[in-house]
This record gives sequence, structure tokens and C-alpha cells, in this order.
Amino acid sequence: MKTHVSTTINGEAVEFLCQPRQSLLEILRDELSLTGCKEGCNNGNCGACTVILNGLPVDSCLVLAVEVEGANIETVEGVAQQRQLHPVQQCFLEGAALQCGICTPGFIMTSKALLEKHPAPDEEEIRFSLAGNLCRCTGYDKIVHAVQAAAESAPAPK
Amino acid sequence: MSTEFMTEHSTEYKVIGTRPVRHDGSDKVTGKAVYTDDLHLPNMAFGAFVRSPHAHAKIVSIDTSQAEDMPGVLATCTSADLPDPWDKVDDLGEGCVNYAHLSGNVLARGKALYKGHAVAAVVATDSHLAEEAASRIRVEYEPLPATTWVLDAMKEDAPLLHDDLITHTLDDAPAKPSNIESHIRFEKGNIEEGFAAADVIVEREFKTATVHQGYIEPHVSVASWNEDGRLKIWTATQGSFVVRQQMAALLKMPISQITIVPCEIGGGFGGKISVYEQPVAAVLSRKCGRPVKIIMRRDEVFEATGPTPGSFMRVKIGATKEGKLTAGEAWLAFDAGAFPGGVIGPGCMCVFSCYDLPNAAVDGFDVVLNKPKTQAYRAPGSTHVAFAAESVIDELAVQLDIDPIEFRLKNAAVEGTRRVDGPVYPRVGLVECLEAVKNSEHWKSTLSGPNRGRGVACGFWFNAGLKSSVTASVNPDGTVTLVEGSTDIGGTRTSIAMQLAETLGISAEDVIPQVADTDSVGFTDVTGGSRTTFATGLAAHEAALDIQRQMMERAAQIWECDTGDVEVREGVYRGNDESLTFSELALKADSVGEAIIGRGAVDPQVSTNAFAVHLVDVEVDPETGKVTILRYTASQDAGTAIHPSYVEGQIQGGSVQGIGWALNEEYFYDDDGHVRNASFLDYRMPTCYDVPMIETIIVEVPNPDHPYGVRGVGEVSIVPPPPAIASAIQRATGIRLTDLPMSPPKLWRAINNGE
Amino acid sequence: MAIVYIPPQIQKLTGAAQVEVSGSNVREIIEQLEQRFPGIAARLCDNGQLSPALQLSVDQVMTRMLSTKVESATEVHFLPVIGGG
Repeated sequence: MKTHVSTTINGEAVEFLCQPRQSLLEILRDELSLTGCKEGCNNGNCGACTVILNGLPVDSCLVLAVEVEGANIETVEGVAQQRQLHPVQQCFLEGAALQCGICTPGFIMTSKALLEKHPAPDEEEIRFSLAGNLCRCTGYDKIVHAVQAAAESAPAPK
Repeated sequence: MSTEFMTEHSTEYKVIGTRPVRHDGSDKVTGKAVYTDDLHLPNMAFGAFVRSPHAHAKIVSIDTSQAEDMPGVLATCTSADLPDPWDKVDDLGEGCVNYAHLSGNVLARGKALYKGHAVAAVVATDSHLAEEAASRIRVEYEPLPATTWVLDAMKEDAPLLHDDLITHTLDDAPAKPSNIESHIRFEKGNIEEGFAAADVIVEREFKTATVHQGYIEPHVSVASWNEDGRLKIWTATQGSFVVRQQMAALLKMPISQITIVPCEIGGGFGGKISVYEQPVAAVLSRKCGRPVKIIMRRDEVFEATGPTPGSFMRVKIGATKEGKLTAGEAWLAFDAGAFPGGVIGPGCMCVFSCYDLPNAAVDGFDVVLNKPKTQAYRAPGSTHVAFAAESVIDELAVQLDIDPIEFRLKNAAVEGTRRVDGPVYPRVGLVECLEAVKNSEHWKSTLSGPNRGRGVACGFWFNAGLKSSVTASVNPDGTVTLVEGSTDIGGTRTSIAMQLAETLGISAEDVIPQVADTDSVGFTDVTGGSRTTFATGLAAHEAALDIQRQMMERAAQIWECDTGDVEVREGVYRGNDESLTFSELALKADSVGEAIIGRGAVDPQVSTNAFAVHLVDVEVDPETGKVTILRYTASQDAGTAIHPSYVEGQIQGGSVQGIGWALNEEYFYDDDGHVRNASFLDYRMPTCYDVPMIETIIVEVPNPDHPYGVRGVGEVSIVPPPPAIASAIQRATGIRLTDLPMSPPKLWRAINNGE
Repeated sequence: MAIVYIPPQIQKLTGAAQVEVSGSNVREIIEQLEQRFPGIAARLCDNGQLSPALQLSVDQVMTRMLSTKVESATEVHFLPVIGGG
């Protein structure tokens, strides 16, 4: 028995059918081919699957797909606009804030959500806000610097 | 970002030392990069494992019939579906593997040797169904006594994991089987005389917990075994050719029938070299006739892959009151996990590797026990022994009242120092790293306030050479397409491309690097051993020289002169009073002759010898035992930093892994031998809220074995953090912790027992 | 003559920590050692190859190939294999 869900993803109206047990992560990746959000743990501890749900960063593995009826979802695929990278993406690139890259989409989404709420966060706020995203490669130094640079480079678009 | 450079190389480079945006960067910040789990092949089915709930048990029977009767279930498999393994040991470049053991680790044969050991697998039309079907495979076990502590496993009456395991030693082989897989011994000089000459001797015992590499991407593969007998596997691996080698041996098929496609890889750190799910996905694909994907759950990753050994170590070092080391003795016992083949060898070789020690003896034991088969983890074995040896060195410095950096400088290994295991160092950069820290603003700053302390420690790792291959084709627009076999875990496409660009006198952006599958490029060893920028970079340099030679011939042909009359400098070709840039010549060359293709295939059989020195300030909360890292500085000899940002990144990443190992990370085993914290919630890796910025000092003492002086930078940064932090805690509290991790409960107990 | 550093655990066969041996490569060195100290080759080799647990350090070269050339005053060490991360 599948449920019909209507939602908005990256500004486009999207409909899908899902089983009640399927997570938003599973639907995004396996049904909608939005594979930018990654599965790292599937229990809400690593943040690799972070998407922005109604303005808040969430672990999409902890959201049931049936819960997103009528919601507004942003994924990493929708962050660059008109072939132009978002300042957060640009600063991650230029600041070498990624190594293997598996956690990067999650960090991009959490950072974007942070800067939309707090355009000028200090280091403490950045570290606190990103603490739900694990990165095993970088030691976080360049990630924090990239978010600082993004905050300085441009006000995050609303 | 405050990176300091201490550079010795005199050459001016155009590309090397700059910080171009990495070639695969855009794909990785937009979610377009394709990792293995992002593949969805037509008609793909999904596999799931059945794993042992016991740490040690005889497998009496496996009944797959209920699972097979479920609609949507396509096939099951057990070890009976794998060919009888060769009892053969093979060289995987980065260590050897016994295929009988590897096959038995992929799917248990007769006995389950650790909790989580794969026993059977099932494939179904969707992943949830596969998980359900796995729960309906009935396995009857006869539980056996288990052991998860290395010293217990070494006892005469310990439960044996393998009835036929005779200790591997150069000494006379013991008559009886045991859990002691190997015994290594090194001697140098005369330790009795050495200790007799010492004014101060410190001897301590140390323990370290089992820790995991902790890559964020779980192990994942897609296998497609086609009707023509060809097997194709897309997988997350550090080495596609090494996967091919293992698959061919485990499945007893020719390597030419197997193609391994390395997808983008989400971290490895030594844990993605051995195969786990790949052979099972292949067998299930053969049985069901469809492509099969298997992705491990995170608890499976913790319980059945990696980890790196827990250990027990006893280290004794003597010194004169002037601060000269006289003798050292180490007794080391490491977990191998359930199958032989741990990292005790490098542990023994690294324990005194930072010092010029005239007299020493090292005994090392590799011990099998009921834990997952251990794997390499970034400078494998070296972090363990540095915790022990550097803690003792620091205690000697305290007792002798000598500054810890000066004490190390008095004894540091230099060119010509003979290591305890025998070989003599070529030019190395430990002294330069120590001087760099000594001259840093951090070291010169004053740390004040209660419960605060500062620690320093050194680390060493060999770094490997091994085989690498590339081909490079010149395009008519003056760019070069570079095809390489090294999977890119942390920006090596760019660090390799930069060396090709430097040699040809073109820009990094004019090189288009790509990682190819095993049918499309020559044999290349794993991305591991800090070898990729060094060895695959060397191959790229060789390919560039090959291209340059062909370009000079082509220029001579165009200018109607002898090739010997053509010269090239910084990418400009001159001869017969004419000149052409690389891109101009590329365009003309294309119109007058065949394609220009460069090749590079290398097998440098050298260690590139990396040293690091770390400095850390901590604050201890006496109420909770929690340690806060206030400030951290890491210096490291990179030889030559090709892309300084990614060198810093390796130093910072390794440092933070080392901080995690020092303060929080451990497998908690209960009395039944079960890991009780197999999740990222309970296995506490550092988050960005746990650490400060990691200041880096890149020391450049060029490696004489590389045209640009590259040493390799990946691993050594994980080595110094545990002893540096232990020494900082000692300065803050007066307590010397000797047991990793130095987690809040342990430190709190130590403070409150008044130790 | 190459200088072979004898691992401590087999020094009872050689009676010395270092032995000078002639030979143009490591294979010949081991053959010479075996002639002088019977039984030593079996500790170092397995089916005509270097034992899988060992690698060679021949001056600065780290290798497992017995064909590795040695010259006068070359140092030959038998070391454990190393796996990298």
C-alpha cells in the first residue's frame, strides 16, 4: 500500500508514491534520483543526508517521506542557481574545505541554512551549528573558514 | 589561515606550491559527483547480510529455505557458494593477504569468529525485503568461549580461534597452536649496558582501545556478473586493482574477466583495501542474473570492517642526566582481530623511530582474538607505539627537568641514524619540524590559568612508493587529458595533475585528470601509504617527459631541423629561430602527425620518511574529567608541498582523527564480546564543536628520491596527538594517563583517586 | 661483500648479528647464507620466494624481490612487511 505525497523540491512541484516505512532520504535518492544527499549512517548521527525542510536543516534519513506532504524541500541539487555556485559552494571550493566529498552536500545545506538565519555568525556559532555534520577528512578547520568566508563574501540570498 | 612554511627547496616553481581549485571540486559541492551508492542500474537487486550474533560460535546449520520462499527474494548465498579458497599468501603491495583467511572473513566457514561476522546473504528486489529475508535465514550456532582482550588471548588456556595457527616467527616454530600469530624481535647494541649507563630510567605500561577508521561512506558495491562470464564491480575502494586481484583469487577466475570501476570514494584511511561485500555481491549477481547492490549499515561497518588494533605495550627508556638517551626496550602486543595479519610489524619498527637510540630491544606479538579482522588505519601501528614511547620520553624530560623540545632535539633521528630495526635514514626532516615548533608563536606564547597544560610529541611514518601508472594525451587546444589508476580520496587528481603541468610548463587547469577503471589504465597500487602524490605524481612526471620528447620531435619536423636543435623551457619550444608555446605546438602537431600520448609507469621502492611534531594546549575540567583542546599546532615535513591547501588538509584531518583517538574513540566490549557502541552516536568521533582551528607549519625538506622533492603527507599527522595530549594533561593535572582513550570517566576517576 | 643484518631470532644459526656475504643479488646472498648456515633459507623464504611476512631493505630500497641487486658494502635487512593506511 503506497501513499501519495505532493511536495515542493528545489522550487518545483513534485509528487511521489511511497511506503509508510520509507524515509525522505530513500525517496530523494532512489525514487527521485536526487543522489546529492548521502547515506552515511541512516540513523541521524552523521548529517550527510541533510536537506532543508521548510527552512530548517534536517537529517532526511530521520524524516518519513509521508511527512513531507505540502512541505518545501531544498536539496544540494538546487543550491546553485542559473549555473552560478552559491557563495557557500564557492567558498568550499576555493578554501579546499572538502577532501573525499561525501559529507560535503550535508555541510553545504547546513551552512546555507545557518547563513540564512544568521548572516554573520562567529566561530562558536558556526561550530555549534555544524556539530551535527560529521567530517572525517578535514578536521573541520577549512570548513569553518569556508563558512566564515561565505558569510563575509555576500549576504546569503533569502 | 596562518600557515607557516619552513622551506629548504631553492627551485622556483610555477604550478607546484600554488592552490588551484581541484578538478573534481565543482561536482562535489553540487552533489553531482557519483559515489557507488548513487548508481542505479537497470533491473538492479539489493543484497543484505546475515551476521553472527555471537563473538565465537560453531555454525551447526544454515537454513535459507524460508527466505527463499518469500516473494521477491531472488537468491541466497553462504560460504559454500565461494570456491574452496587457495591457502595462498599474496602480496597486495600494501601488505600480504592469505586468501583462505580472506574468504573466511567474507563469509564464515564452520565458525563465526566475531560478533557481526558475515554468515550468509540474500538478494531481493528491494532493500527492505532483503533485510526481512535475511532475518528469516535460520542459523543454528553452538556458542564457544570468546576473548576480546589481547593479553587474555595470549594465555595458554585461551579459547583458540584457529586450531592450526602456529606462531609465525623467525625463531624455532612452537609445537602447539595458539592465538599468537607472530612474534617479531629487533635488537640493536646492548640494552644491559645501555640501561647501566642511564641516570634515569622510566618504564610504563600502556593500553589502547580498538578504534575505527570512521569514513562517512559505508562500504558499498554494485556487481554485475554477465552471461558471458564477465564480472563488473563498481565499488568504493582505495585500490581498484587490488580489489580485482582479491576477487580473482576468491572467485578463482582470471583477472581479465573482471573489471573494477572505482567510483568516488567517501573516505578510506586504510579501511577500504580489503574486500568485504564485493565477492558476495558478485556471487549473488551470478545466482540471480541481475546487477546486485550491497550497502552496509553503519552498525555493520563498525562490527565487521576495519577497525585498527587495540594494544598492550610496555616501554622502558633510559637517559643520562645530560639528556642523552642510552637504551630503550619495548614489549608490544597488538590485536590482529579474528584473522592473522595485523600491524605489529610497523608498530615494532616505529616505536623508537624518532630517536638515535644506541641500544634497544623490541618484542612484538600479533594476536588473534574475537574481534573483527583489523586493518590499516593511517600510519598503522605508529600511533599506538608513539603514545607509549613519546609518553615515556616526556616523563624523562620532566624528571630530568629538560625542556621537552630540547630533549627531543638532543636525540632526534637525522640523516645517518640507524633505526632499531636496522636501516639507516637518508635525509629526513625531524629536526626541522622540532625547530619549526620551537620557533612558533604558539610555543613562545605563555599558557596560564588553572587546569591548563601544554604538550608536545613527535611522530614518524615510512610512507610507501609502489606501482603507479598513467597515460596522458595531448589535445589540439593545448590541454592534456591525464588518465590515472589512483582513486582520489582527498584531491590527488589535482596534486598529480599539477606535477604533470609543472613538467610541461602548462597550467593546472590545462590538465584534465580522470580516474580510470582497471581496463583503462595500467596497474596502480592502492591510494594508501601516503604514496599517491609521491608515486602517481612521479608517473605523471614521467608521462610529461614522454610528451615533451614527442613534442620536441614534432617541432623539429615542423621546423625542418634536428630534434637536437629544439629546446624547451617553461613550456615554450624553440629551434631554427622559431618558437611555439605548448598549446600552439599542440595544435600544429595535431595537424601533421599521429596523436601525442605520454606514458608513465613507476615502481619506486623507497620509503619517503615523514616526520611530524605537534603542540597542544588543553584545559581539564576537574568536575567532569573533560579535556578541551585550547590550541593546536602541527608541523610536518612534506618534502615539497604540491598543493599547500590539501597538505594542510591532510595535517588537520589526521590531527583531528588523532584527537578523537586520544580523547573519546573506543569500541566498548561487553563480557560476551559484543561491541555495545556500533553507531556514530555512541562511537564518539570529533565534531567541529570539539576542536579548535588546527594551525599548520609545513616544513619542506625535499625528498631526494622525487624530482620535485615530494614525501607524501597523508598519514603521519595522526601519530603525535595522543602522546601530545597525554603530556598536556599531565602538565594540567599532574596525572599521567596511560590508557587510551583519555575519556572523561577515566580522567575523572584518576583525579578523584588522587593519583 | 654485502653486509647482511641477521634478525636476532636467527642469530643462533649464524652466531653473529652481521655477516658479510658475496653475491650479486639477494637470492644469491641467501644461497650463500644457506651454505654457511644450513637451515637459514627456510626461515627467510617460502617456495623460493621471500617469506610473505618479510620485506627487504637493501640500502634505501624497500622491496620483496629476491632479484634485487646488491653491491659491495650494500646493507641487506630482513624486515616485517608494512601495510599503509
